[in-house]
Amino acid sequence: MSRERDDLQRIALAAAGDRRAFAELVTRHQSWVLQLAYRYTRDRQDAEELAQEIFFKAWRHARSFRGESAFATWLYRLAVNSCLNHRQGKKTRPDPQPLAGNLPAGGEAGQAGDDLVAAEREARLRHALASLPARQRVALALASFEDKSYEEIAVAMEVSVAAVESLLFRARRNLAAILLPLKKKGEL
Amino acid sequence: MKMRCKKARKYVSLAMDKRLEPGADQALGDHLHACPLCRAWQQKQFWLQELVQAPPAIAPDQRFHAGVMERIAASSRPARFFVFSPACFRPAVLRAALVLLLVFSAALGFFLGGPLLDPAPDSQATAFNQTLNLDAFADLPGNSFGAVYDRLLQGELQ
Repeated sequence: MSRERDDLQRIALAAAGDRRAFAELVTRHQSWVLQLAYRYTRDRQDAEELAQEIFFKAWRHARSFRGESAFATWLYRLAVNSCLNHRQGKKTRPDPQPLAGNLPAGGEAGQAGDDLVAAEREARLRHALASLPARQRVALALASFEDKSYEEIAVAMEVSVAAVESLLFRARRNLAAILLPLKKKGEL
Repeated sequence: MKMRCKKARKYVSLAMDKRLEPGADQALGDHLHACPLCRAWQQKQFWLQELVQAPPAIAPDQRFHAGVMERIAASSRPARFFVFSPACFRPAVLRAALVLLLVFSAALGFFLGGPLLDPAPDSQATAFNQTLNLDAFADLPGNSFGAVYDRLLQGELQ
């Protein structure tokens, strides 16, 4: 039996309340769902919360799955929709502070200093991405990190291809407006 | 026809995703050759593309799967009607409870309580007699002060 067909059987069982069938679906799809959530949030804890939310919604809405597409396609749309509705501000993190600037330069700081600089840069990046509107951020994550085509993004986000083009352009313009001043200040 | 900078920058975004038509590609090239600002814009976008890379891959652990299934199991349990928790002591909850109590008491008083009326005339006389206890003078001699006072009260004497 193909994996796709097996997924369909299991989601039908899950819709009838079979938790073991759904547990198997979670095992099969958790890697890419968590990866998608992580590429969107860039924070492991947030990503785990978001991915758990995605599976929970899949369980709750299993009855609405009609089998018109593959289960993975349905779950992908659900995941994208959850990213769009995800509020990362639940636990507001402070703006990243320049920690590495306080470290002594050179050998003593060594690898630890480099790691800290990288972590600091990642924190700034995460902060900049988090400040983008959700739709721009999702479009950017799907195009840049998931390597999805504009057509695939349009289907997943339920918008036109022209809207995807516009969202990506605005996302890049806004990101440049946030990050370029930091580059000029030497913080990136 | 010359391309405007706004359009050229949109084309830069499309070119980064390899979505630019061949004809538009040529037009963008011409514009970038002539416009230093858009050329700088393109360089900044390339820098951003380098900077904003996909984060490293992460893998789910056992805790993640268990967390999903625990959440599903918790949602299947019947909800308790009332959960006694410290939330019961939050000021807003207490205030709301107090307001409800007042409204309930007022409603109860309105529907169950009777109107305040003056007592009936008969009951007024009874109450007056009970207060004075006129019967206490009944066995007094007829010309005693008490008997005279009693007769005076009864209206026999003018």
